[in-house]
Amino acid sequence: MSLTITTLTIRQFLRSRSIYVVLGISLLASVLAIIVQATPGEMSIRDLRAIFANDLYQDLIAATLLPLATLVLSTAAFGDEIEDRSLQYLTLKPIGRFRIVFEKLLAVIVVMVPIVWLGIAVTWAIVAFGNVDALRDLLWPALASSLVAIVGFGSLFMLLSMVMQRALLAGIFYVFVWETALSRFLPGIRAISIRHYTQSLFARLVDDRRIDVPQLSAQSTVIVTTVAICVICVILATWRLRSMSLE
Amino acid sequence: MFRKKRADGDRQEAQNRVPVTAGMGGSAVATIELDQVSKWYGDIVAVSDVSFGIGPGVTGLLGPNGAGKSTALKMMAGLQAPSSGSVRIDGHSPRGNPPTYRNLGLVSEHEVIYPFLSGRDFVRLNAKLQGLRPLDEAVDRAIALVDMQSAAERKIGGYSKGMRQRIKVAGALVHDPDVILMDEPLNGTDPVQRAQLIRLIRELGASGKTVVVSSHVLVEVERFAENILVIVNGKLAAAGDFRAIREKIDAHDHEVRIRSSDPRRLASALIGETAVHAVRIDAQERIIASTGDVLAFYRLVPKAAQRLQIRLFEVQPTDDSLSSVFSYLVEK
Repeated sequence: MSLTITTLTIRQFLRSRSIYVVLGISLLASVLAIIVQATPGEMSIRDLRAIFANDLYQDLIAATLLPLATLVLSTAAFGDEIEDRSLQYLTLKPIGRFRIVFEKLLAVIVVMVPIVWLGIAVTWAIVAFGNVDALRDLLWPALASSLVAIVGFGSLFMLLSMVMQRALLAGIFYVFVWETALSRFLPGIRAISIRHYTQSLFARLVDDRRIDVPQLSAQSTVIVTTVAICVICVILATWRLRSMSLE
Repeated sequence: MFRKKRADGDRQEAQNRVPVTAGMGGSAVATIELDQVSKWYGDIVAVSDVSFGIGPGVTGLLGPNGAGKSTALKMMAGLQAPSSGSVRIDGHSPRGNPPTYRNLGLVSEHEVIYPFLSGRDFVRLNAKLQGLRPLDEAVDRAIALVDMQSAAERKIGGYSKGMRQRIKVAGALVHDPDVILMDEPLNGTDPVQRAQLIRLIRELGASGKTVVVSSHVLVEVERFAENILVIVNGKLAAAGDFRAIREKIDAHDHEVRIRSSDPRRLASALIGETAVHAVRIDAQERIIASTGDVLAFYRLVPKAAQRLQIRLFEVQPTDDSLSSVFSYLVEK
């Protein structure tokens, strides 16, 4: 299968303002890492591990920055073309709606992964500066678990942009109210929170008792649930694209 | 056995289908069929209980701005679902039926095309999504059809409005569809581009394709369409041979607005002509002329301006005139 729509969407992303916003959000944790490193006083290896794993990755990157960055790009995948009415150049072709949705999501993932990984790697490098060996085991779990957020949030927010006009606002509401506030106080909601799965996978892969996530989910649960979220969102987005009226 | 059953089914389906209202003649079966189609958005009725069939050849979809032409075209293309009634292309609903697009091309009225692509890349994109193999031959042919070879490698973002229109036409024709829908394709084109597009539309119709072209300009449609469908306020006001409808329209005066370098001298020259019934100059120093023969009037104005060495900036029917002309057809 030629990935014509994926290639086209990537080119659209690379020349849009969204890409700079995503890059800025992804590098925000690096700025905080610089501030931490510049703060006077000696920090132990244990402190540095806690700062990267708990404060920067779990509480900032996984909880807020990753969902926000994914929200910006995944809502633009269809949202921009619906708004400027250029989506018809794709829908008036003898290709299945599933293929359009799948290729668009693929473009989101292909563009998000290097940007997010760059942000995580730079943040890690700043915190681990001078202590690379002691923090080495934290990097790849962070990179791997970020995929859960990119795929889960990416498919969810892309669907959101197809069912409502103010998807960006709805997405921000979802991130801060559902994923952050409600899932913190209501244990049942935590079990259906993408943020929780991202953090759980990270904690499982690091295998360090000091990196704590309440109601830690199993690796298999994380992977199966993320795939299920993605499949359900793609199916619903395909159905939505079939029934959508285009200007 | 299966073949016979299928053939019987096809015959039955053809008998059930809408006869041609505009196109090859009343006895032929239509390529495009709209059967009691209505479309409304909340309280606003865009298209109201419209039925017609369109056969091969060029059919003009005529009506003032906001009459429902674009909505009708979007329903024909399957972009929008009718609120009631049915739309069929070659017997099948285009809505939710992607294989229909192998044989259908739409030139939409919207200008936005991927500005970062070159004209050739855009046509190639259309060809790829149509699954054409090999690509280059089809792409070159489509670009040549709209005479865009010299600008094909340039980015679309730098194109003029007329060039964007032409590259959209190339994109819609790259897979050589039998059914072509064009929404105001002449908008923004200069006189040379306009003449080229009109020639192309006529050639497409003459080659047996079903071409539907929407426009709100009477004289324009007359240049490429033998048959017209007139839509006014979402209703089918008239359908059939252009000349018969033209006679009906010509029974009433039309108002044409002219902007020129010397309106008073030009007005004096026009007032004595038989095609001109009345002339006045409005507050913006524009000539508003009333004529009973639009075609003769459009030939007369440039000649008079040339003779008097007056520059013409604009010659076009007033919106009020257009609406009233179309309303004659509804009055019966």
